[in-house]
Amino acid sequence: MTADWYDLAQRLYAARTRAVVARLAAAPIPRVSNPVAVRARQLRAGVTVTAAAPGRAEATARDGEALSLLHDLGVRVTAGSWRTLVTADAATLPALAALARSADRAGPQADTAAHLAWWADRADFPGSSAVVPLTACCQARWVTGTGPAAENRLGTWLAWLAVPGSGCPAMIALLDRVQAGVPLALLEWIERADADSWAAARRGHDGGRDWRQPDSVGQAATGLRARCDLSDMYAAALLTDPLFRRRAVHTGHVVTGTAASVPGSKNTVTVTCDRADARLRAGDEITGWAGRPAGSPSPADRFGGTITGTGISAGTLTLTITGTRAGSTPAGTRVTICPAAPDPQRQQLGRTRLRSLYGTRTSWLTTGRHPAVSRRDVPLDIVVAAAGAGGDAGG
Amino acid sequence: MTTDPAATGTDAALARWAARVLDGTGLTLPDAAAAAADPAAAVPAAAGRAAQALRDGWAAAKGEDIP
Repeated sequence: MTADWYDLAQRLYAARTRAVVARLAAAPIPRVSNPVAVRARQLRAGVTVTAAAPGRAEATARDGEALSLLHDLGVRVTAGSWRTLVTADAATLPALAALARSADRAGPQADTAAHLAWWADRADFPGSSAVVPLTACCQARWVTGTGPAAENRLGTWLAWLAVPGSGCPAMIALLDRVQAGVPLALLEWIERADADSWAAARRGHDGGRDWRQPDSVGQAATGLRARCDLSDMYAAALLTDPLFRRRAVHTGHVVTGTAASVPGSKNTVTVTCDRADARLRAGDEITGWAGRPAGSPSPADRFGGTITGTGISAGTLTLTITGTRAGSTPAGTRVTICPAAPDPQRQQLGRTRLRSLYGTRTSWLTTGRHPAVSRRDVPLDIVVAAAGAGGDAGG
Repeated sequence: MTTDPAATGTDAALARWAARVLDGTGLTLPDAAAAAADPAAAVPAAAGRAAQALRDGWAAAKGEDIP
């Protein structure tokens, strides 16, 4: 991989021009409507929270008063829409979770505690509009002319982007810079998942469900599946950005090469790759187009398909692609290939099916009993295919 | 070629990170800066891949070759 050298050149350019260099053309997060910037610390004496929101001055409070402060800023699961946590360090969210657990279950701040718990849950989802890790989002969008470690500090970004002020008000101002412009495509699916999760949290609170109770096995399984699905969706969202794709050539996630037709096949094309360090594997679904990685082809100009073969000869990687319009790519055409975005409907269907399996009392998943062994005759061609697959794996 | 990192205008943190990134390429930080900014800069044959990536990163930072 050559991404470190690519990044080094961008850092050197930023250092020379004393201005950040864009990694993304689009915003890495959806448009946030109700941000609340928070800095929280858990000490032996309790949890101290400093918070601010647009049009609201920064304030600091501890323990129960901290819950009241957040309550006044609209951090309540009973509110019409969620507040977005804007944070710039790793200590804030655990401190807020501790603050939530310290709240009285039936007290007047229970709705604030439930909102804090919802933040803690959604923080696992990249590209979410529930929690915005500010320095990570800045690192996704820009590169500075200093070392990468310095970019974990809020002050580095405030200085490089010339954002005035400090503390939570400066975090709100920095958020405006991060979310300026058009969000990455596909982020709307992550935002929809946020909305569904928010609705479920509200229903749970209204129905008296205690968020402190551990998840059931089914909830844990579907939660893990949702995290995997939306991480895949965020990875696909990044690949919709032309600047990201250009760098992704150096990580192997985007492949460039030259197309060649396959005699006798209308839906197959081979691509002789410029580099051998591609991450694409046989069985991967891809999308491709004639032109460079930074191009912006319309859907009609793209071809789709599946990698059906890979091979290396004299250090040159060749991919065989079978699928829609792949065979119509003229021989000798320079092409760009990247993984196809996941189908959000298919993802949703998969999660719904998993939830129903865990909700079915007779399912072996929920009963904990091993499924009964049943035997039947197997057609010879399936036995032969299985033997072949085993031989391939062994060879 | 110069071997003074300060000549590239970089701070100490970037210079330290760059030294790790360039380890094994045979390039110093000033070499890398020159190779990134100037496609005609001479680089050792063994550093060809690094030089190509440096040039691509620099060109993207300048906004070159982005439709």
